[in-house]
Amino acid sequence: MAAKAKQTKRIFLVVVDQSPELKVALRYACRRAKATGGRVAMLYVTEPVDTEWLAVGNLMREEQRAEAEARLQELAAGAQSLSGEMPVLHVREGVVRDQLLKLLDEEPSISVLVLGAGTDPKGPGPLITALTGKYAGNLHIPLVIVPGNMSDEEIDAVT
Amino acid sequence: MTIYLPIAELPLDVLVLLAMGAGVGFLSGMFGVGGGFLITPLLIFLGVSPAIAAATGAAIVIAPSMSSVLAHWRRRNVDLKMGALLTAGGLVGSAASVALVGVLRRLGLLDVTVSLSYVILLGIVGVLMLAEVITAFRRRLNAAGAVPPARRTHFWVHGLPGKMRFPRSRLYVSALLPLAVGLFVGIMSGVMGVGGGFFLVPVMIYLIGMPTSVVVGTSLLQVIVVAANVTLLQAWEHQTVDIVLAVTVMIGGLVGAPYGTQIGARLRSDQLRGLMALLILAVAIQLGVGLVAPPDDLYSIDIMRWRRRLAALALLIGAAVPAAARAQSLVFDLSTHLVEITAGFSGTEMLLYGATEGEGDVVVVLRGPDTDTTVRRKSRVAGIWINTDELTFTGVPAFYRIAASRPLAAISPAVRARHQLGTEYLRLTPPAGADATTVAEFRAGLLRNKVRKSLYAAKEEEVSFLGPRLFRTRVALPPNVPPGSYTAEVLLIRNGQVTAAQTTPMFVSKIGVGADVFEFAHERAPFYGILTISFAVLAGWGAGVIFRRA
Repeated sequence: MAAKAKQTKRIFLVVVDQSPELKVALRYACRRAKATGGRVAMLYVTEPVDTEWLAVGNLMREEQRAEAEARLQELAAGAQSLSGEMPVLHVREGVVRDQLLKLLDEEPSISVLVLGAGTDPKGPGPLITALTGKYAGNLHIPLVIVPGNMSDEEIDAVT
Repeated sequence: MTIYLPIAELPLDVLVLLAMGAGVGFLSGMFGVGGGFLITPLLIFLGVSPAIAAATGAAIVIAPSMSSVLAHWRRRNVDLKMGALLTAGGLVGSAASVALVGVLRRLGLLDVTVSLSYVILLGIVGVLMLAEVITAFRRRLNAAGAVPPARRTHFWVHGLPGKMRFPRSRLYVSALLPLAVGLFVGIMSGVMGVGGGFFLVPVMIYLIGMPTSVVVGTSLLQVIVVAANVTLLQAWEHQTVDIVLAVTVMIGGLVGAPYGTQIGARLRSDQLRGLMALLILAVAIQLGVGLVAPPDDLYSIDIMRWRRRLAALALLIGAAVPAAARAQSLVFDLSTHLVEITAGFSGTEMLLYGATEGEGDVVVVLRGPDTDTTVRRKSRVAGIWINTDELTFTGVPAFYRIAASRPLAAISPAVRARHQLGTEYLRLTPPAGADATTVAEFRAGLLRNKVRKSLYAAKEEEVSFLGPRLFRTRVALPPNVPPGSYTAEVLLIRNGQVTAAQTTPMFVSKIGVGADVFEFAHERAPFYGILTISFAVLAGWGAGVIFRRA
């Protein structure tokens, strides 16, 4: 029974980008993971490399990878202390939306996708817009949207 | 579907131009380099003169750069300070090189300079690309991972004076570095019509030491401003930017590039890159062969000054009444006095008909506007055929046709010389004091070139008589018939003497959008340049926005 529970351990996926609402999404995911005995995964998508010339492409990939790792390490430390477990880290290259859907297909262990909604009046951000709109049918797991203006206390209160 | 290019002054198939743009756009989307440096040589292969191909190439480069800079701008991947220095150098370099283009053009050395620059550039790019592919291939055979070249952190570059901080690039380097790099790319851009991204990107990474994330966006900023500057100056000073050509190729490129990017993101194949390298080398070789192969004709011609009288056209047409005002021994007329070169013009035929009073032979001469024409002679310099000598003739008819009812050889040389009957009797005025043998050689070269371009006919046409008095002849006007005012002259020759002569004017005029574009480009050159740039910027912007939505 315990083994089975371990297998179906919930994984909360957070997409890492430069937006301020990443903080609320990550906090929510960590708190929920801790509360339900789950784990946090983080996806960082590097920009597609479009120049293949004089090893420039390889150098770009290398630098982006280094940047991605630095950013993930920085976030992972906080996430570990909040969720109690070391998060799973994914680094992909390409368009964020496509890579996210691909990862969800490849990793059926991911059970909840957590995204932070931007507070900008223009919309919650391209990813949420796509996944709640045209691409809603491509999701096979629940999507949790955390409003970007929630404070840490408010998040803690609901998790 | 043929379109007449108003500045390049030649008809080309729209589909060919669109396909060429799409193909080059596809390749540059796929490899991230190679828009501009393939466009100009391909235009040259299509028959566009190198001067116009290079100037128009610069205009074309703006659009795709605009389209991709937007994405980088949104992601803040632009180092504005570094970009400003690169651009400043680029503006100076491009202004200088456009001025240089003017000098080279007057000397008749522009074509060879453009071709030679491309042979060198494409040769280097092609070889480097091929070498890279081969290295990657070998490495895979050895089953070792790709090892990017290590960046050097301290070398001579860091000893240069005038150091400056670039916070976005996290650099502290000499400001002279981006200025010099920009200057060099600007010079290349002015002469060759390339954007220079293929050069800028590696130099910014390996020489200046910028982080790769900001390199592409920053280089695009420089490319756009410098290409726009080249477009403006070329349009202003030399009227060599063909907006119709630019827009057509540009549209093809903007459509093709996103597909290239998509395919390129999916398959990073070394074989494909190898093919690209071979394509680049093939273009270089093709251009190189043109430089070293002995030319068919050592002599070439360059029309320095048209005596265009387009403004006075309407007045003159009013005067173009048939040449039969009073009872004469000779009357004739043309089937048309106005030949209109429209966008789809592919040559036409004109009928000249008339009647004589009494016996005699009829000679018909149609001659086009007089020009100053420079004849240049090539000789081999360091293995390359370049123009080394020149001679300018004045009073050269741009177009000349003659027809006669009996072979011209039967007419006495004195009469032929007086009335300039036959190309060998044309009075072409060489510069004073030119050596007689040289003049004869250059004159022969001029005639040969004119005949090759169908502007002169090597032999007379026939004037046919319908009965004893009525005569007629057909004059074929080729697609490249020069615009301007012509005269048709008919001589009646009886007993070896000219007993009657009549002339009537004829006009060849560009009509429609093409003519308007030509006028605009010459009369309001700076505005025309700005219009071309605006087109490119808007097209690139539009494509960038559409592609982002898709």
